[in-house]
Amino acid sequence: MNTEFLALAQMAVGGGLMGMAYALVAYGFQLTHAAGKAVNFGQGELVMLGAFAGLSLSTAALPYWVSVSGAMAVGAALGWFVERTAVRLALQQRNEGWILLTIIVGLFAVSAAENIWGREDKPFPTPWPEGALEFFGISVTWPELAIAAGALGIMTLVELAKRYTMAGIAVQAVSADQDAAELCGIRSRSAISLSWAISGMSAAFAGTIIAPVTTVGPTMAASLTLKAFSVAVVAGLDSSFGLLLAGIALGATENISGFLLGSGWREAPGLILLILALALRPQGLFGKKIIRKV
Amino acid sequence: MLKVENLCAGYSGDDAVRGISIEVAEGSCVALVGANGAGKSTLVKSLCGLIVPRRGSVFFCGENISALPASEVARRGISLCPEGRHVFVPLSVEENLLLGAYPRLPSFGRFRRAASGDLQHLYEMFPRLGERRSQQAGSLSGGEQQMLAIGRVLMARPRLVVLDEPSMGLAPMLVKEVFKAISSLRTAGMTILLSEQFANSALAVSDRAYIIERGSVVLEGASAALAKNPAVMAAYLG
Amino acid sequence: MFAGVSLGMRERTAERIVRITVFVGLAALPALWQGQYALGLLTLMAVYGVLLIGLDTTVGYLGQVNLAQAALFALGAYGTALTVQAGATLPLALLAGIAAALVPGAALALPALRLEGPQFALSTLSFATLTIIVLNELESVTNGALGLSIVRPPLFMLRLNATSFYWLCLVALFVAWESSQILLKSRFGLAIEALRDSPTATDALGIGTLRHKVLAFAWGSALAGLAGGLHAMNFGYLQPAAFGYDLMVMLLLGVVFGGRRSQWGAFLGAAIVAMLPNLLSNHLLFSVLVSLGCILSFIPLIRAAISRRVPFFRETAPAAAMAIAAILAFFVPNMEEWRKGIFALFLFAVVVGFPNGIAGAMATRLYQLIRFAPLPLPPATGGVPSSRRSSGVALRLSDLCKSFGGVKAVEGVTLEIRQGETLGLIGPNGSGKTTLVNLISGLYAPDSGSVEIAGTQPARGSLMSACSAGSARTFQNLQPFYGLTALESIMICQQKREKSEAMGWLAAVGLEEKARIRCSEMSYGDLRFLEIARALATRPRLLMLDEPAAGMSKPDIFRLVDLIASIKQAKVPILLIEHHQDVVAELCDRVAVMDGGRLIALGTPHEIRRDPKVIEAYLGSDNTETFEQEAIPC
Repeated sequence: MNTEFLALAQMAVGGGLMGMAYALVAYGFQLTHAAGKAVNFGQGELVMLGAFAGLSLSTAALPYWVSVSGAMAVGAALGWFVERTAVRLALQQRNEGWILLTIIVGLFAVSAAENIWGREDKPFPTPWPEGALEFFGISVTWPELAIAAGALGIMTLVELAKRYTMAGIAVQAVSADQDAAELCGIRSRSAISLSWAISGMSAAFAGTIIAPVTTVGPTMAASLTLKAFSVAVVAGLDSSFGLLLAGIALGATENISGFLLGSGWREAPGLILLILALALRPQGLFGKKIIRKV
Repeated sequence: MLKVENLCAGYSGDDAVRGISIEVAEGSCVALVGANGAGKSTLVKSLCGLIVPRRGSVFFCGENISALPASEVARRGISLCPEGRHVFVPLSVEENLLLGAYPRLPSFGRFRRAASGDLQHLYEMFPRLGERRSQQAGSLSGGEQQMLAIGRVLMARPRLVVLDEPSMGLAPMLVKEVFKAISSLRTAGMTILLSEQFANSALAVSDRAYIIERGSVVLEGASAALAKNPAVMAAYLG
Repeated sequence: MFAGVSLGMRERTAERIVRITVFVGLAALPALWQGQYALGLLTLMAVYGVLLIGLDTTVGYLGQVNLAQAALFALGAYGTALTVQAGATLPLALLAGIAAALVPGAALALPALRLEGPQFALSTLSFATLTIIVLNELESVTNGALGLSIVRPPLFMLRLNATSFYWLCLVALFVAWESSQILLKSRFGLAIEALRDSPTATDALGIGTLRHKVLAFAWGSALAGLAGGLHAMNFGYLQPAAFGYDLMVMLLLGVVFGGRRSQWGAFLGAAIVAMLPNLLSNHLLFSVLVSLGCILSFIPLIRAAISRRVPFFRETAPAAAMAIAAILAFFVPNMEEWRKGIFALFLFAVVVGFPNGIAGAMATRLYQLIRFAPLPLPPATGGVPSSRRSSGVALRLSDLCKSFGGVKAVEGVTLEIRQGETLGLIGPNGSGKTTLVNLISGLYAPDSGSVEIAGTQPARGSLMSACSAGSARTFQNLQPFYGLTALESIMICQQKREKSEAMGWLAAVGLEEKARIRCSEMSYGDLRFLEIARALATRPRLLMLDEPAAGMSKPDIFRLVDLIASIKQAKVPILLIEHHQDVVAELCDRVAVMDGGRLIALGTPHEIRRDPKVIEAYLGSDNTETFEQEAIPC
């Protein structure tokens, strides 16, 4: 096989695996959008805080799995907090103040993280073995595999919970028709809070699996929000399968364009694709069309 | 069982319901009859907690429920089958029915088993729903969706069933079927409050009725007597 | 109640006098408050003022969260810097800056403004990120991360020192302010206000939604370019990193903080954003600010405590945020490090507590204290003009179908309305009447079948095209332009902008007394009449009234019947959906009855009333054997 092709394939695989983490963060958008038609513009900050929480717990000499679970619990609490403080009131008043308020909460989160954990990037310890596996000449590191397994695992778990528990079906009912769900005795507010908590949890988990590859730092937040957004919007906010595809595609494109055009350009093609996708198909490639009513 | 006192409610602008008082006795079937836009739906929505009433109060089994949110009203045993059906379009027929029983099912664990008896009973009553139990509710026809909506209400084992315009948007054949179902609920001893624009059909299935025009009750009494009253016809065709 | 002082002048004149005073004061400031640093801050404030007035056009007037303004600002700055390096004069360089922001801004607006809410915010965010990447990476042109240095060019042989450049920036701010105000008060600006409230209505009335949005965004971009140009000349050194996410968030929050939809708000926001680093580094000043904010935010809480009620979230949240800010400010040793966080808390408190910003809150107080002289109104002219056509067909529907999922909302409807005819459309709830009107007016595209309005076939599913073919409609659920007055609502619907004609339409529906009242303060019944006047102002060849009497009181219904009768007399063809049978019987030449998406009867009101199919559709079957009860005669 020619080496240039192999290098490209290596890039694509590495990027695609990272892209699954973007898909997981984007999945958080999908969850909250389904429940209450709002998303967290500070989702990247939750990812960062989750990673930092995991880091603190593991430096406190807790076992890896305990730290990750702890980070997820922190993420869930933060997700709930964002909904309560920044989103609920604005949605009741049917205005778009929540966009600003979630940005503001994210701004505070970055400042808090800078002061609590410092501005510099830190490595994130994992129990995974050193070195890499090789498939057909393409090498994959253990943390990269952990991203794929973790993202798939969490998304599958949440999707299963949505289908096979009564609480999950109730959350789906609230997103389909809030009034009708209330009439069935479902407390829609709690269902929306639950979605935000799960969204925060998956963001924090994403943090703990991304951090071993990229390191942890306050600056990771902003670009992650944008990437996850791109994935969510390109895929549409209805399909979790679409998210994975879009995530993998974005990650691979980034790596390949970084390789071909120079590292500064790595994000550019994805962004151009995003603007085009929005313009041509606002509901996303896998999304459903909305009917206007008067 | 249900007592509504001097209720005023509306969305924006003028009240759509202007001081209505009604009563529903246990085990009876009461109809709210009136033309489109008379205020029936606003009344029904405000007594179920979907609209906060501006004045007046709603008592259910002696408790004032007028300030409660819809989910709490539902948990107290009033089940509304809303106007326009409002089934959960992306979910399956069976999931829709299970949601009807939501408050008494476990959130996690074996909820299907907990509801299996009620489900079976319901599928016997509406065999069409049984045939389509795993189909998406959105793919059902209008009449089937109405049956599903009624089924969802029954799954709650309600103390009071409120049906808001169950015939809306249905072909005449299906309307007949809907009324057949209502009539059998009544025979089974359910307490029913029925809001309906089709006066003849509504009066035929109910014990008592209130004729509503422009937000107020203009006539009330036993349904059989009202059905002979020419004023009812006048309320519709002017 | 305190009635307020009456001021013998119009609001706009008073505002202008205050503004000019402020500008004169600002221009004189360098003489009083000397020092390079102060002058730098003032210049920055003027530049940000231009930038934020531009941003307010999209964030405030258009109501869309625009995250591209910082990038457009950067493009303007680089455009100017590069032309200066090429030897351009100052005015030419500024023009280049404007163009450098305007062209990509318009190119972004065209696709992005088809989107709403978060999607729009996101596409602007992508554009911003992309811009910074390009500026960083296109090293041969922009010198990349190393930055670009320029020397300020002279203005017509005049060398500008710091003070005179500051004056130039003030002039630019004044010009931007005045022209924005004129623009946003014009018909164009009114249309923008209107489409924020109801894009469906602006399209259905032929005002055009997308066109106005793109132009507004372009205006905002041009101002960003101008500000960028000034910024480049002010600093003389540009680096892509300075225009990133942080600046953008600051700008956005500056607008919200100052107050949306107000040039004063943008100006206040600019002052805050420019002074902010200074405010935060000065310990004393900062402590005073935090304490003040804390006290202010606790007032509503104390009020709630006095009246013994549980405070609302919008009262507790700002107080909590300010309390945390105070703790950080007074008890944390490295307060400077927390700057961003404290700023975020301030913003949180303002966004939750004063959704209209500082200028908005001040304006509310001001209107309570001062009454301005009202604008004079011209006398009404015209009335309902008669339709030019007397023969032919006003509307022809053939075999129209539309279904949603498994439900057939409209099925095979074929119908004609003749010129000058009033056709009533009745039917039970959910029988498809409103869907039919939505199909005719172009809100929905039919699945099959065709619509022909006054001899032309509008494009499928286009409100604008149906409107230009001559249809005009009202909405069952009101779609008022809450931000506009009654008169303004009419004026934007007219082809020609004539106040007296608009007054004529208002007079026709009996609202000429309420011309100056904002729609948000009008009663429900009045808004229904205003919608009819709006539709009439487009001079329709087919008027569709969707349940005009819904929710109206009895006397209003009599007024409505008289109004429709007078429209009918003017031979305007009308499609009237109505539940009140007496209204239908009195007004309509023919009545069509729908049930279950189909047309089941068509005839004179008299015939319809006796049609057994119609009676069954309305009253239900009296064939009651299936109900296990005796048959009841009807």
